[in-house]
Amino acid sequence: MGFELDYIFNPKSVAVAGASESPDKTGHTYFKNLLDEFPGKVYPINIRAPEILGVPTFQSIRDLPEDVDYVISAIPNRDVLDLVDACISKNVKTLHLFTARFSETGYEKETKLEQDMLDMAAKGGIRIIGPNCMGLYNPRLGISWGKGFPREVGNIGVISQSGSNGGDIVSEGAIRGLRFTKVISYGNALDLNEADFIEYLADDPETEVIGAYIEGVRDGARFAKALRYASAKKPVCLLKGGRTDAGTSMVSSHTASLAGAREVWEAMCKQTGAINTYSMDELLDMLVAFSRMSKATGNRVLVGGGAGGKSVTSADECEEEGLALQPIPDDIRNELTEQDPFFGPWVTNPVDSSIMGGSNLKPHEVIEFIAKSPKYDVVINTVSAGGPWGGHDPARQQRASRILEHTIGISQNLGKPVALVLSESIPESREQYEVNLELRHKCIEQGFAIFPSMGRASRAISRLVRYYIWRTAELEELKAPNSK
Amino acid sequence: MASADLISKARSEGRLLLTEVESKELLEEAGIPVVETKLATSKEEAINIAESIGFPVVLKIISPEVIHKSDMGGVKIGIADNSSVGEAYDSIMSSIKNAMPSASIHGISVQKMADPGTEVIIGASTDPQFGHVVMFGMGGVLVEVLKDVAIKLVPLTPRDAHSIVREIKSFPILEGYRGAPASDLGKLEEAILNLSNFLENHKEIKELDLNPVFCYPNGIVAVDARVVLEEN
Repeated sequence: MGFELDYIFNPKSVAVAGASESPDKTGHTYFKNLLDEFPGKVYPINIRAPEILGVPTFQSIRDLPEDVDYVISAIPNRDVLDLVDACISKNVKTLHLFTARFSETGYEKETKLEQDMLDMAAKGGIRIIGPNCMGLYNPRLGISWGKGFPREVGNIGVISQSGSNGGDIVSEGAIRGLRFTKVISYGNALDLNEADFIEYLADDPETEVIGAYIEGVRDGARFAKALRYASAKKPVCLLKGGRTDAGTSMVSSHTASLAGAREVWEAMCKQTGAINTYSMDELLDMLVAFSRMSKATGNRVLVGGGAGGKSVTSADECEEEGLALQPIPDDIRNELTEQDPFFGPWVTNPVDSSIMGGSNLKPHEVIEFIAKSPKYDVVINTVSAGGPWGGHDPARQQRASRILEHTIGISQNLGKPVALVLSESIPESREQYEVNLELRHKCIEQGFAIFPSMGRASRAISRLVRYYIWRTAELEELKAPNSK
Repeated sequence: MASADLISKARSEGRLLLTEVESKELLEEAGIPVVETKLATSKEEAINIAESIGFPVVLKIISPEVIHKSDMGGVKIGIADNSSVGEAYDSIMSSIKNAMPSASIHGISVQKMADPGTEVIIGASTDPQFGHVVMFGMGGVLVEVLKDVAIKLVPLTPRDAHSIVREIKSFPILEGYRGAPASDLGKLEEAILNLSNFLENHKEIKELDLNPVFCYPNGIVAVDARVVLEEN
């Protein structure tokens, strides 16, 4: 369906029109990133500077010694028609326009320029990304708009109407262990639009999870169709920015008064299987859950909830999000009681390990022991190497590594989906800060999905489970002989 | 009259709102069960129609200008015999002529008085980004106060139709709560799917309400209907 666009994401040569000598210009960053990492031919186009970063420049695309696949434009808008013409002469396949000030200004002249550019490009067989956008980040190929985006390839594909939100998804996501296949900032969606990109990522074999930041869609019906097509294959997590103004047209029926823009968007997500989020935090939580947890087939959860009241609030938060706190099954209970007749009968879910001091049960091992029961679909454990105040405590640090070790056991030996709750508060003591940072890195290296609170972990897991249930039913309907 | 003719007739008269009789005719053609409703332009015709469809009947004013029919004395229900039909006809005509002398009157609709059932609403509207959507909810006051409705984009799959009736909070009422009769969910889903197919082929429809639709253990029927067309 969308994979014919693969050539757009895999050019063999790239030219940067408006490549700049000055390191604080985006036209410089694009070129430098390519020069450092892109394996194919890279050409800087600049009318004044004879060379950039030691590479001789060309005055125009027309002067290049051979054809070029992909052109990044960082030139002023007044020169774009000439640029498109030059691109046609070199058989350019894709033109990404960082260049802005087109229809987004709302002005007639700039809107017409944008349309003229599209018409010219279409005639010349050139596809456009943008204008008014950061373009492509493809770590496998070494194309990137950011300074210091991760070089490793991951399993998440992202589309973002906004460059800054797209960049935040990459960098905020990166510190939680997220890595990407392709990230596309697509701005005005003049030619290639959100539906094209969703269809492409749906068919892209290295993309396992899709994230999207979207303000408005060019063709709602096609977009909804693309989402449903994609959701049947892999999870799609959406963050909608802004609201459309539906209030201008007169509404005269009950239905129209109840089906406003927000209600329709939410209904569209539910119908297409897309996961609708309401903040960047929630979008990242969902990407963390889907890309770093194995598939959860049910909502029966085992929780390592921390000590005392923390276990109680953990239980509340899980149940409020629709997770089922499955009681300790009888066979497991019997085994625990055999090990310790006093503590065995007392253990509950959430597991409060603070009660086990002096017992035969090892607090850090108990949760792995219970998790082996097939009655649990998913596990949330809490790990902490020390609180925000009060300096460094080596005993707690040791306990944290033991908990981590046995949580690794749950995911590796038992193959169960696991989430880790790891506080994000910044300790007052520098030493403790270093310890916490090290623990965080270790959790990420081990492949864990980490969440800053039980509430956020349980919400993400609940939505993850609902998605897989939706998908199973969707695939059944698609298989049915009478399906459309 | 075929749907295209109904729509072009309304447009030629400069109307975007179809009358109840037109709306029902259109929706019946779409495969949605509606209460049998006929337009009478004289007292005698009203009596003949009433006799042919059977008592009790309901009489309603049909005029593009009269939106709130009951408030103006334009509706008479539970009419049980010929002479009452005649009285109701005259009473409606004089009420409307008093309240809105300038209203153009198409006539008076005569329809079978439906047996009471569980009231739901089925509707459609046009979203500026996503096009036609179908809405389903509990009828009567509940839809307005509690906004207990579910929405799906057109086209709906059979699974979407199955979900839309089950997504509302009041769904247990449709299943037959505390011994009340269950509603015919299969017929509801079928009507919703038929509506979705109809809307796919009729982009010229902007909004519509089937409100109320009565649900019975066997079957459903739309008691009132209004259709609004897109401006050209």
